[in-house]
Amino acid sequence: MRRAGPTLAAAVVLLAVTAVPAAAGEAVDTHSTVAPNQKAIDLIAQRTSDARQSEDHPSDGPLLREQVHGLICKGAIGGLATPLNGSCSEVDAFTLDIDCGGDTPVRPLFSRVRTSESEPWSEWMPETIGGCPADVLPVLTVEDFRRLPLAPPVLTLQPDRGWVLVNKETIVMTDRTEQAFRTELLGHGIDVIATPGTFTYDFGDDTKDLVTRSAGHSWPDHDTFHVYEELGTVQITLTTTWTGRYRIDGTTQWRDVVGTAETSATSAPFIVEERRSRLVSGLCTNVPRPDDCD
Amino acid sequence: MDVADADGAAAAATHFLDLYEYTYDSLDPTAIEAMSSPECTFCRSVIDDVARMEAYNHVATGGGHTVVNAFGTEITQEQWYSAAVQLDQAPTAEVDPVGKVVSETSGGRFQMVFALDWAQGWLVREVDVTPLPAAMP
Repeated sequence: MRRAGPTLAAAVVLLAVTAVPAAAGEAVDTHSTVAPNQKAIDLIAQRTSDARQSEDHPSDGPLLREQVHGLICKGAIGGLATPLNGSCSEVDAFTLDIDCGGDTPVRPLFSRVRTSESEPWSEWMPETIGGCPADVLPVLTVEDFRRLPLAPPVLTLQPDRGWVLVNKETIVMTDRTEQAFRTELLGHGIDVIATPGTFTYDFGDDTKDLVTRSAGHSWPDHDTFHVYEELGTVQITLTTTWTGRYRIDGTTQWRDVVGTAETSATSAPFIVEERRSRLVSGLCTNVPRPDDCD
Repeated sequence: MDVADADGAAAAATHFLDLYEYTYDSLDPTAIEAMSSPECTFCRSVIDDVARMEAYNHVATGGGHTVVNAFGTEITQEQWYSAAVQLDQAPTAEVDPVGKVVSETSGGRFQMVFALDWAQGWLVREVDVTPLPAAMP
């Protein structure tokens, strides 16, 4: 019998410096179409959704437990008095007439069990009393949000050839792309969307950071750039602040994560040079490359 | 790697990457094909690429990778798993029989997401690759 088991917490396996001895290989990204054709990610999302469905409705093996949302009879002491057990009609049941500020109140959750398919079901027993989703459903905290595998957006430099000219504009750009995740809290499946907020560029030369909401544009429409005034070797670090929103399975409302997450990306080092020292003996796109291109 | 769990999925993904390097080194796709699901477009692309190189008598040089991070999750017990691997890949080149470089790549840091099947052993169902900027030192 194959039953869909609960999703286990992810195990992190950190492999420090497992260098494979220099063997040959084409760059891995030549074999994959990346966004929007995210084949593996879409497949994983579909499988995760299917797994949750079959957790709630196992098709393999005998059905020994059922759950349903229901109501409690008015004047009931203890939860066994419910229309589900025939103790009163729905009209006489206590309705959750509470103001949840736009959310639909969550009805009490009942379950019943039996020891085998040929045995009768037990009565419906209350599992949760219900209430407003904000009180009853889990909150995705900023700590939960920061645990998601957020990929840093790609940092693009223009020019990107290992050197830039002093006193000329060095353009920086990135992309403002949302990332979607599936996760789980206390048995509830959750959709999460992370949105880039501000981009902070540290140019590595003791000048003020550039903080912007613009993802930047390439030349000549560039709006995010820096002018280096000193010669030397530098690296640029882009720190992105992310906001999050999430939606719990079975509800329609998107809720905001209180707080932000951060990702960081650093460029390869590059040299800030003067124009004079940039005389080369041929085009740098030639093969073989002239020595003074590097 | 021989256990159907989250750690096993992470180990299977990194093993697949070792097979990837071996496949280009040897131009023999047998091992990687045995670990690939028939619908895996990434796997098919690798297998077709080395078949092309073999037919033209080209060889691959350079390459090699270091795994920075490997992370596995279970979706359905003993059935579906996923893994994410971040790796640094060194530059590579493809060389023709007279030693001319016909193509090259500059390598870099990549994030790879694997969809894996367990069927008394691991099969890679699909792989996505995203280039990443190099991390802070």
